[in-house]
Amino acid sequence: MSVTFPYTITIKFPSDLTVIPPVRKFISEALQVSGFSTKFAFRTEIIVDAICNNAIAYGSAGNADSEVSVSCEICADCVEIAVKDRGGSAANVERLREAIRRSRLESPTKELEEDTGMGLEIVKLLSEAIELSVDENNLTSINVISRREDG
Amino acid sequence: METQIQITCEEIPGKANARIVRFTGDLDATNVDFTTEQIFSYFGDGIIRIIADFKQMRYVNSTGLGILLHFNKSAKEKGGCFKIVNLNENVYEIIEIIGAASLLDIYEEMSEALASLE
Repeated sequence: MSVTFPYTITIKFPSDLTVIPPVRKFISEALQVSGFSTKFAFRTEIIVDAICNNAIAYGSAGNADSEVSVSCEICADCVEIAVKDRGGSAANVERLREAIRRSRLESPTKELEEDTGMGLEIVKLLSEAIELSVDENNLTSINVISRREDG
Repeated sequence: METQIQITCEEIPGKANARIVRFTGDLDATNVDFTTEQIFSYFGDGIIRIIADFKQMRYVNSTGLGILLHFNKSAKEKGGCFKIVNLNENVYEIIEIIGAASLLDIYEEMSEALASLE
């Protein structure tokens, strides 16, 4: 199959954790079809999973009308992922900002057991760059760039 | 639309309070509660030595890694163990990257895990 880079996949779904697995798997399979390694596709699946979980947990959980948007720009040598949602409180956005700002794991056991921002720690370890932005309409966006190393 | 996970359990001849627990599917936020209930029901039945066979486990996310550490800790607190065998290389890489490989009891082969129960 011939693929022309770059191309973008955009998926919008309700703020419901149970929708994340098919979304992350779809993106992973698209990467493999596009010639990326299974290892890179797996890493990207982990990244998409973690960011979407955070978007729902810290943002739009409990709001039946909310939705999450995942946009994945697939280039020849990298993938740029943007996950957007609306509805995060200022306190939750600040928690998210702090989780992204932390430079390293202080206690992997504790953080994993308590599931406090550990997903974002893994995202940071697996990606080249991660950014959080919030616009004037309270649209929260996490953008991640992951570069392919070995195919 | 929950992620499918199947958990089956089999006895280990001659090993008291021990079982092989086989996982199939993906372990993530959609099924950690089910998985936790299953494992803690084994602990509740006095099965405190568990060998978790991940041969058919394709995927584990951060939430899943968290409960694996929790199972490991809980089993040890009860005087038992929670050993993991047949991890695929993608999952193992994530465990290594976050520095949790030394915190979990991981074996490459089932025979090694079984021998360690002696």
